[in-house]
Amino acid sequence: MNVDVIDLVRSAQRGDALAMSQLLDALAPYVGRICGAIALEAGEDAAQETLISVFRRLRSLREPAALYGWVRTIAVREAVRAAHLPVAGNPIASGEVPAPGWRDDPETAGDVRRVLERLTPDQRAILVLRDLHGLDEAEAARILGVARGTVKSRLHRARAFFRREWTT
Amino acid sequence: MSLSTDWPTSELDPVRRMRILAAALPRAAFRERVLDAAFADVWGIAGDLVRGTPQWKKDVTGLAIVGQEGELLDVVIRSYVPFFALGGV
Repeated sequence: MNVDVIDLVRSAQRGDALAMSQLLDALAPYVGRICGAIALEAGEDAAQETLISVFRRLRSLREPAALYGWVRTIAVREAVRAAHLPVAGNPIASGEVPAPGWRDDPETAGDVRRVLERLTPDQRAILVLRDLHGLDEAEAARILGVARGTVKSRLHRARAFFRREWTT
Repeated sequence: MSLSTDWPTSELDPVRRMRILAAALPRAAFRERVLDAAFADVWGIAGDLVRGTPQWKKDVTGLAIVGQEGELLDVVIRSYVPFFALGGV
């Protein structure tokens, strides 16, 4: 990890306000990619709550080099939680599958987001951890608090769905 | 396009950024209020720290910018309230 970021963590842990601001700038894009992919419409709320939690607990991070893995765990859990909250206009949150016809819009057909919206937040979280971050099943299971077999089956279903929607 | 490209991302707007920093800084106080006024009118006052701050924060009697580093400012505030101080904006 970048040495500057490690220094920022140590300074922020001592209460340096400027370091906190700079560390926030460094972490926001990373957190935004995780939360946006999993929580979709609730991604901004999830990113905010993730970073509030990160900064409130920053002093508990003993090894600054582990920052991004630590933040990723918080972000994934917060994004899954936020995605399950009832939000007006969020069909996934209510457990409903979006109505067919999304392909009728020529400007959005083929958009990754449209496929993701038809997955559950848990399936999106698996895809993010395994396919975007390259974590193994054991680590993904630890972060999500589920059994390895659950990770395996969710991933299989999510990948199959994604590819089917993407190629047809 | 593949599974690993073009995933949706979320960005922090300035208000969310402020909420996070306020939660992180031990002595920070943060309040939000929606004003029934045009943004330009509000920002015309709020964006002018030196002259505008005493107009909307009545316990502030004066504010001076004593240093600047990029977008960060060091300011000294005079106030009726004892121990009131603002380290940066």
